[in-house]
This record gives sequence, C-alpha cells and structure tokens, in this order.
Amino acid sequence: MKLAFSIAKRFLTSGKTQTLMIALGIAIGVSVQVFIGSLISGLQNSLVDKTIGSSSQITVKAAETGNYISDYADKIIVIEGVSTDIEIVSPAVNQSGALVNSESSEPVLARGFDFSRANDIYQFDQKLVEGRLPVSNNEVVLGIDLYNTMALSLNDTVEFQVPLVGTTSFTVVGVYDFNVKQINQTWILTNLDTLQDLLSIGDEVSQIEMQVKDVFAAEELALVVETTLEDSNLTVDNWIAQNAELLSGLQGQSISSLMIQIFVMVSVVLGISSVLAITVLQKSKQIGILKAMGIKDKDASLVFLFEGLILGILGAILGVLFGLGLSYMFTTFAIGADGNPVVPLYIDFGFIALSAGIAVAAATIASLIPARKSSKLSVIEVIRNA
Amino acid sequence: MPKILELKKINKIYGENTKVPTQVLFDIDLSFEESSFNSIIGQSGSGKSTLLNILGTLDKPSNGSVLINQIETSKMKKNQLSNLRNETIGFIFQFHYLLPEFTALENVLMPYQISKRPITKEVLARANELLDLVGLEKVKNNLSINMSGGQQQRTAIARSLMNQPKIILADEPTGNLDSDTTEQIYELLREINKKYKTTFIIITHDRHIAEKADRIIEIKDGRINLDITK
Amino acid sequence: MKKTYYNTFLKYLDDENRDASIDYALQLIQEQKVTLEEMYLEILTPSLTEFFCSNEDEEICIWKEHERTSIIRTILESLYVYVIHRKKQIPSKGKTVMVLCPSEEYHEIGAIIVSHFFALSGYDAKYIGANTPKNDIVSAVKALKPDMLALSVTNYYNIVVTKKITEEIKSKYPDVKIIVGGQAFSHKDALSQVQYDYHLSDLTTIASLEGGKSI
Repeated sequence: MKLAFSIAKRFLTSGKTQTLMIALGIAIGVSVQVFIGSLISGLQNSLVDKTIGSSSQITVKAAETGNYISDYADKIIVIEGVSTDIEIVSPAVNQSGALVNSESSEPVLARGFDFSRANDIYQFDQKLVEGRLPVSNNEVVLGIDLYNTMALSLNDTVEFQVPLVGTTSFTVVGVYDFNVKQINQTWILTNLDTLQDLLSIGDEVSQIEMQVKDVFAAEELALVVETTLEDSNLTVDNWIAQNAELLSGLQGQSISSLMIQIFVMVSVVLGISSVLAITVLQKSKQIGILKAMGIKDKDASLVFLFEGLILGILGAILGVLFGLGLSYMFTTFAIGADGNPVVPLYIDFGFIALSAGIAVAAATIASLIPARKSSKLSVIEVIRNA
Repeated sequence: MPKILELKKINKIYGENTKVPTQVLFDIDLSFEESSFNSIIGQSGSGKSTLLNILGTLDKPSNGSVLINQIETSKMKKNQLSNLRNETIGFIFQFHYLLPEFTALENVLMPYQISKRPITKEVLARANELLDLVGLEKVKNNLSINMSGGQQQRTAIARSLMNQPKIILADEPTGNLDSDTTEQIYELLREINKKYKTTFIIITHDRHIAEKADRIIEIKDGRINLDITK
Repeated sequence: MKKTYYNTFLKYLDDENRDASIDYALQLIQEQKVTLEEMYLEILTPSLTEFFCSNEDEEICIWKEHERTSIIRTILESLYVYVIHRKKQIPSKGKTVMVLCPSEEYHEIGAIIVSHFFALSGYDAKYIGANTPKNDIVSAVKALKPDMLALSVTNYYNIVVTKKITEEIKSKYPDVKIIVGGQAFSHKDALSQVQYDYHLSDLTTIASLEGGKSI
C-alpha cells in the first residue's frame, strides 16, 4: 500500500501541470455541482418560503362545514406530541362577513388568532406597516389594500356584519402588508375571543394550523396527525394536497438539477478515466520496469487507484472552494433592486460534502480501468516496444 | 560448480494460435554455472533477447522448462515469479529503464522497496555504497532524467545489485554508450562478478565485452550456433 | 648447448635491446650454430609463449609483450632469405597452402612461423596476413585455388568468425583442406565449433602432412 501510494504520489508530483489540469477538470465538475445544487435548493427554498412559509402547512378542521373543534387545547397538546417535526401549532377561528363603515361595505374573512402562537406562522409583527397587533377584544388589523379601499385610518371604528349571526364593531389598531393582494384585501385579524363571542361558540375554534420543519414531509405528518387524533369529526389537510402544481414544479426542478449533477459527474468520470488511461500508457515503461523488478500486479494497479484517489481529493477540495467562490460572487453581484440576491443561495454543507465525496468516489472508480490495464501490462510488451 | 540457471528443451513460438506462427527459439538446452560471466551474441532477430527474457521469467517459453536455482519455474504463480525476480535476478537493459520521476538513490532503493521490507540505516548505507561503487556519489540525489547516459546505466547497474541477486541479466548494457564508457562499465561488471560472485549473462554485440567473458554463446536463427568456454 | 643460445637471446629480449636481439639471432643462423627449425621451435616460439611478466601492472606487460613481438617479427622477416635459400635445395611437393589470420585477429607471429615451416617442407606457402576479412579469404581461395587453408587464431572470440569462414569455405570449396591452429583452440569445445581437417598443434608434424591429411 505504502509503496503504491508513494509511487503514485511521485508520478503525480513529477507531472505537475498534468496533475493540476486533471484536478482542475474534477474541480470544475465539483464546483458546478456545488453551485447548481446551492442555486436550485436556494431557489426552491425561497419559492417554498414565499408560498407556504407564512401559512399553515397542516390544518385540522371540522369534517363538516359550520362545525367547530372543541377541546382544542387538549388536541394541540396531542398534536405537539406527535412529532418534533411539527414546530408550530396554532388555533384559529374563521368567519366571513362584511366590513362596513359609513362609506363602503367590503366582503372580508375575519381571522381570530392566538397571536402568541400564530405570529410564529405568519410573522405578523414583521408585516405590520402601521400600528400594532390586537391585544384586547374587538381590536382588528387590516390588510393595506382593504385599509386603503375603505379609506380608513388608525383607531377608526368599523362594523363587522355576519348575516344570521349579528354585528360587532372593531377598532382598527394596525395595518399589515402580506405582499399578496388577495390576503391584503380580505383578511382582517383579531383575537380568538372576539370571534368566539360573536359566534357564541364558547371555547371552540374553526381550525388548528401547523408549520413543520420539513415542508415536503407535510403529507406524511398530516396522516400521522390524523391517525393520532382518531376523530371522525375532524379532517386533516396539508399544503401539498392543496398545491399539487407547485409541488410538481418543485419536483421537476429537483429532477433537472439531479440530471445536471449526474451528467456533470459522468463527464468528470469519463474525463478522469480517459486521462488516467493515457497516463498508464505514459507510465507503461515505468510499470514494466517495476514489474521486471518484481512488483506485484496488485501493487501496480494500486498505483493508479491511488492516483485517482489523490486526484479526486485534490479536485474535490478545489471544486468546493471554486463552488463556494462562485456562489459568493453570485450573491454579491447578481442582486435585485432591493439589494437582495436575485436568488438567495442555500449553502448546505451536507450537500457539499456529498458532492465532494461523490467526486472522490468517481475519480477512484474511474481509475479502476487504468488500474486493471496496469495490472495486465506485460513486461515483455514494454521491453519489446522500447 | 552448481548450475544456477538451466534451460531444458526451450521452444518459443509467437502467435501460436494464428495462421502464421513464428518460432523464434528451437529446442534450446543451456545451463549456466554459478558466478560465471557469460556473453550471448547473435544478430538482431536471432532470438537472443527472447532467450534472455525467458531466462529472467519475463517471458514464458511455449514449451520446455526453466530452472532457477534448481527450481522449476513454469508452474509458479505470477506473484511467486515476481518474488523470485525481486530476490534472485537483477536486470540491466539497454535503455536503462530508470524511473525518471525518482532520484538515482531512490531508483537504487526501488527493488528493496518492492520487497516491502522497511528501509533501515543499513539498507540505505548499502544503496549509497553501491552508488559509490559505480562512481555516482556526487549525483546520487539527482533525478535520473538529469543524468548522462553513462550515469544512468551505472545507476541501473547499482539498482540491479540492490537485492544482492545471484544472477544479473543484461541486454546490451552498453549498447548506446561510447567506447570509453563501455570499457568502464565492463570493468565494473567484472569487478562485481569477482566481488559478489554474481552470475552474469550479458547480451552484447560489442566484441570487446564478449571476448572478455568466460563463455561465449552465439545464437543464430533461434538455435545455439556456438558455445565456447575460456 | 641450444639452451645457452636461448638464454642469451632471452637476456637481450628482456632488456628490450632490439639491435642486439636481432643481431644475435641472425648470427646464430649465419654461423650455422642452429638450424632454421631449431631457431623457430626452440628459441623464437618459447621466447614468446614462455614470456613471463613480473610486473604487477598489467598495462606495462602488454606493451612489453608488443615490443617483444615486434622484435621477433623483424627476426622472422629477416630469416626469410634463408627460407628461400633452403627451398631451392628441396623438391617441391606441388601443393599450395594459404596461411592467414581471420578478421580482428592481429596475433600473426604463429601464422608467419607456420607459413615458413610449410615453405621449408616443400609447400608453396602463401602468407596472406593478419586480420583478413571473411570475404577476402573467400575470394583469395577462389583465385589461388590452394590445396590447403591454414587459419591461425589466438583470441577465442575469433572462433565465432572462424566458424563462419570454415563453414563457407567447406560449402563452396569442399576440396580445400582446412588446417586450424593457435591458442584459441586450446579452449574447451573450441575445436568442435569449426569445420576442419587438421588441427595443427605441433609444427614438426607439418613435414608429414600430405594434402592436409595426417599420416
């Protein structure tokens, strides 16, 4: 082993330019791998974050419309016990109705939250553009579009009318901007008590909302939640079921990224094995003389396996550095109007380590062919062809 | 004198399974005594190099047997042959075949490293001593590509001696050297022959080397044409 | 008596005294103290074959030997006058013998002595010379059509070329008898390598050679 390694090392150091070129070849493969990987996962993360980052990913509802969930506090405890992957659990009451003031009447969806929990899902505090979140009953926060449409100002009083149920008046204490017109126009936010009182439902809620650690595991988790709750009056929904198109888009992206990475690796493997095959030819004289001196076939092939391994490691290290450098440049120079990167990169060190590992493995596997060739090389051919 | 090398009824046919097989050696019977100094002469294409390669187990005869130290080699496995070569035979080739990536000293040490024994102070001292013997004390740390032809050939000689082999096989060891260097190399080989009792079998077309050998064997058309001992 | 002449001659040679050596040798013949045959066999040949160099330095021995050889060659050439004289007194055998050394063979004293002996025995002896290439030997045999070809070989490596010469002569001119001689044939197996009719190891047997065959 040591003998083969030291010969391999010497072969590589004696042809520094060639060694560097091969290592660079591998490095470019690895850097593309690292960069594309970071870019795609950054893209996906930001897309997912934008779409479902600030919304409920798993939602427990009453099975029949119009029904509410009783003993929700107990159910929250049960749900929290299902898995540590469920990070946030938050109850909510929903009620549609009309928001009315002296000049206009707008259809809205009133959403009652326990803000200490719901804020973790929706990040209301970051989306407030004016005022504050509701602290006491009958305080409300409106979306900026609705706020403007109705030409309101803070501390104005508006009426919330729910047909067949009644009317209550709200004080506007804040304005939010979700960057989504649909929400900005319709959602009005208040606390749980306000809506529970209005609807006379006691301590019941419309739904229990959740966010999970791995958004793509939402479907499985939803199933687990459903079986754990074991309540036929409840249904469990998840974002994946609701956003099939987004998901297939993301999957398509993942697959194309995987394809790119596979092709990059294939070209790296082909490149290395062909270059190493040439080095066997270049070194055939040396292998021949080593064999005449009695080196074993196994050691002769180990020389090239080690060459592959060393080149792989060298290429992987360089490649990771290039890839990170490229990513850094991308985030520094490809920036949008707001000063943020066009696509935020997602640097996953596990993924980088994997890419490096694959490159090393690929280089070693690529050297199997030349290693076999070296093992089979007969001294007599070398001497006769001198 | 015990026989250190013996060839019995050696035939060598190239392309045996083709339509035009060429036989290069015919029923060669030959044996060499321990610590003798032998030369093999013959025209190019006579089969003398093939004969030497078969003697050194680098090539296999089509039939017949090769005995090294009275041990039959034809049934030995590849690894056993490698060990046998490493321990018993030193090779010197015309184009010296040094490893250009290594220094003279490292080249000399290589046969020892191949045997995978640890390089002790004594071993290093021996390699240095051999380089002194061939007169290369000043260039021993030079890369072999940075040495002259004569220096490279001396390095190859020192290397062939590293594992104290009983036999040295040399194929035109002075083939591309000038006559003065040839004379020096020859004197060196003779000195080693006397000092270490090493058996030498040298292919040469240089009559000055051949006529000084203890025995001259001429190969002609794959047969022994002449075999005389001083 | 003859031993005294030899010792005196050897003393001059040891001193590398060219003039005295030659003078003394010619004087011995002129005064008929020794015959030509005795001169060759008992004085000149032993002075070369029994040459012992006490000097440890091999190189010195080599030039000493060369100088000694040169002195003896001069003597031999000077003696040819006497050979001619003797030839006239004996009947010719009517047979031609060609004497030579093969290529790269420069030790020609033996060959010269042999050619003189053939002449003294009534042969028509033609001395071709040292270092004669194979092709020249073949064309000389073709032109001169000798009955015998005498090859003198000293260096044993020259057996290689001698073998080639004898094989070619025998195949092209099978009637020509081949006589071989010289130090090279004292080596093991050397004689068996060449084609020959007679191995000349004793000069006195030349007189009794008939057409290349010993009696």
